[in-house]
Formats: sequence, C-alpha cells, structure tokens
Amino acid sequence: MGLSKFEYSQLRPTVNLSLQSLHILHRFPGFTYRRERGAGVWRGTLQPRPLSQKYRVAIGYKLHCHPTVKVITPTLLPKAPHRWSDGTLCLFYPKESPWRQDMLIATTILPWTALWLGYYELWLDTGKWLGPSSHASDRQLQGGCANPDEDSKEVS
Amino acid sequence: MFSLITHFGELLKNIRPPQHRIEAAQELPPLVREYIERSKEFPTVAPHTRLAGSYPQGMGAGDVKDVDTLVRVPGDPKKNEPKAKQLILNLKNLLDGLPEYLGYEGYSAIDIERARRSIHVYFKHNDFHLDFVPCIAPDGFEGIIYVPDRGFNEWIASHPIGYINLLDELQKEYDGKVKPLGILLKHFRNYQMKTRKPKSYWLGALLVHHIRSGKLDTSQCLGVLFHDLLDAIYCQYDHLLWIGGDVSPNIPDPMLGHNVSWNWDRSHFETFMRRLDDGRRWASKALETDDREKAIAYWQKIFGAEYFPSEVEAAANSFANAAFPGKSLISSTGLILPSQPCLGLYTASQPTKFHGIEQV
Repeated sequence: MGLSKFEYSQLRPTVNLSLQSLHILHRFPGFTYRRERGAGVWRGTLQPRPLSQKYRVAIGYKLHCHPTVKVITPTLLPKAPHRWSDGTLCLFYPKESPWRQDMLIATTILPWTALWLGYYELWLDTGKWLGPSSHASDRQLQGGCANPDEDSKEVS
Repeated sequence: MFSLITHFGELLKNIRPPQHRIEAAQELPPLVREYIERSKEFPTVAPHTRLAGSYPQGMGAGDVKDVDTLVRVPGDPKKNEPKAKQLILNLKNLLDGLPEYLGYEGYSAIDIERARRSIHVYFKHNDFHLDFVPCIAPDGFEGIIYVPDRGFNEWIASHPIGYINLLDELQKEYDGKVKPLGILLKHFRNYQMKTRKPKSYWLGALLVHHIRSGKLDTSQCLGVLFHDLLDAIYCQYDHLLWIGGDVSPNIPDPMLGHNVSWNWDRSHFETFMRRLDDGRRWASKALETDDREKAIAYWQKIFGAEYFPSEVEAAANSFANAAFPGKSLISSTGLILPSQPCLGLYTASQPTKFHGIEQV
C-alpha cells in the first residue's frame, strides 16, 4: 500500500531558515539576513528592468507559514493589484499551488517578486495587469492576508 | 508617480541611430584600416586605426552621420614631429582615393569648420561621413594620444579611448543608466535647440561630472534621473547668469582636466540654460502628476511627441510575454531576462499565477 498524500508530504525535508538564507545570499548576494521574532527576514533591492528604479523589499518567513513580501520603497500606488490587504504581494494562489516547506525562497518567492515588480511597472504604464492572474472566486482569499492564522508582525 | 519605464525604453529605441548607420559604422572601419595600412606613402603604426566618438561610446542620439576614426602615425609630439600641417595634407592625399577603393562615390576634404582637426571623407551613396584624425599614440590608443590643434601648428594631448572606457566603467558601476541618460541629454539638446547647440563632448563631460560627484541617485528610474541631471547642471551654472560680460562655464575634460568649453559663446550658453530651465520644470511636473496622460504630455514637450510615445501596448505586451513565469530568468540584481545571459548568475523563474485583490 502506498503513502497517502499527507504522509508523502511529511517525508519531504523542511528547508530551515539557515538553508533558505544560504540559497538566497548565494543567488541574490545584495540581500541581507536577520532573525526577527523567530522569523527570518531578508532585505535587499531588485531592479526588474534596466531603466527601472531599484525597489527595496523585505521577505519574511517563519517555518510552517507562507513567506511574505513587502515593498519598502518606493511606496506602491494604493490601487496596485495582486496584493493582500496588508499590502504584501500575492505571488501565488495558495489553493492552486500551496507553499511547501521544501520549497526554496531563492528560486520561487524572490524571482516571482522581481516579476511582480516588472508587471507592476507595466500596470503603471498601461493600466493593465499583463502578467498571469489567478482570481478564483475564493472570498476568503480575496482581501485576506497570506497567513490568516498567524499573528501578523509586519516586516519593514 | 508614473515612471513610464516602457515609454522611456521606446523613446531610447526611437532616438538611436538608424540601423544602416550602425552597420556602416561596424563594416567600414576594418576596410578603411586595410586601405591605410597598405599605403607606403603614408606610414602608420599598428594597430593603425581606431574608432572614436559616439558609436564606440554607445551614446549616439539621432541620425549620427559621422564616424570618428583615429589614424596612428609615428612621431614625437614634444618635438612637433611630424609637422601637423604637412601631415594633414598627406593624409588628405591618401584619403582622396578611399571612396574609390571601397567602391563608393564620394570625396574627402579637410574639415576646418566642424571638427577642425580632421580629414572628412563623405560617402555619397550612404550619405555617411568618416572623420579621420591623425594622432601620435606613444602608449597605444588606450593611453593619452596627441592630436593636431586647431591651427595644425602643434600636437595636443587627448584621451578619447580613455573616455570611452570611463563611460563603460560608469555604466557598469551605476546600474546601467549612465549611457541612456547621456543619450537622453543629447536628444534633449537636439530636440530643443536647432542652433547654438553645446557640443556632445561637453554634455558628456557634464554627465560624467555629476555622476562622479554622487549627486545623482542612479537607483532611481530614468525619468527622475533625467530631471535631476538637468536640475544639477542648471544649479551648477545659474550663478554665471548673474555675472555680466562674456563669462561662460569652464567644463573640465573628464580625462585630462583642462577646460573643454573655452569657446562656449555667452549667448549660446544662455540659450542652453533657458532650455535646461524649461526642461527641468516640465520634467518635475511630469513626475509630480498623478495623471498618466498628463505625465506623458509633459515628457512629449521635452523629447517630442514623435519620439516619446503615447501608447506602449505592443512593447508592454512583448515584455510581459518574455517575462512570463516559467519562461524568464532573473539575474542576481532582479533583472528580468528573456533568455540565458552570457555572464553572471541567474535563476530560472518557476511558473506561478499572481493572486489577490482584483484591480479596479
């Protein structure tokens, strides 16, 4: 008899904060890492296009939660799409492709953040979100936050 | 603030020299070098010729019809050998045969009006010019070279290849925005001024000065940087407007430090300052407005509606497709790359769909 989906998921190795950090700092050497209230926080800048400005972002991650990404500077336009109600970026649709603890922030969240910023600039230029969107009719997710059960300590 | 990155990208495409000129600037020099190297009457020193000017700088704006070419000759600048006057005549004699050798129709002339120290070869067929500047290069083209002065009386120091290398270094060091900014400044001059234009080299020297001074924050987008550059140049020299007489700025050569704008006519300088003042005010309004259409209209006043586009749907869609998660790559600084770069660290993006509150 094979393993259930749940049992199989339990076998996957958890990538701890130190290992996440190692990968992030290797692939994005301009970022810095700090432990803050039990969470890992990586801060750095991303420049999605050659003529773009540099965006300063903070990525927060606590094991067993979703990573959160906040743009520190510049201030994003209030109407900017694809963000949670706390202003953090919605980089994936958790119901369709949930965050797993064996995933690497360096190969998922960080590249997606750069892409989000690129599409944000296109939205500023054209008024249209030209990136892939997932707007399922899940009212719980819309306007919610990435980690609804967590005490959300905002990174900045 | 609307940074209008796509619009600025399209503007830069619209003001770059035409493709056939870029190709001519690439194809002609090796043929010219071969012709000059073969000559027995006019001795040259290996590597004989070297491109200079806006094409190798990568800062050409508009239809740049002339390509500057250095011709390395043997000599001693301190002893004024060879005599620059005779040399320039000998070079002209040599270059008289160049259009025919290349199979083109054209002619050569000593350029006294414009570059003043070069032989000007015009190719009628492609409406293209090559400006040949003889030089003594004791340490090769990469070091300080000596070119004839304006009266062809003596040899004076110059460092054109050092300047090209400096621009390359600054471009790398300051987020890849130095050359685009230089191109915008030249186009601004070309668009706003039909006569009394300051020379490209002066603009380049001003750009280098302000980049090196650290007053420009190159982490900003190109629109902000352009405003800040105009503002910085204006503030650098506005006190001179209050001084009467013939005073005009001394712009130091970025490589050798001497005053390169010694012949800047006062009235020409004043015209340039008026254009700068207009430009920085319009740019400021473009950056302050929360109305995209208004921002575009202000930038069009600065750069021309024929160059700064109103619509960028096609370019935006093209970038959006290239950036698609799962297809694109991300550099270590966050640059979105459509394909694998030759150098540097990158990460392949994984597929995703952005979720969240729908835009209004």
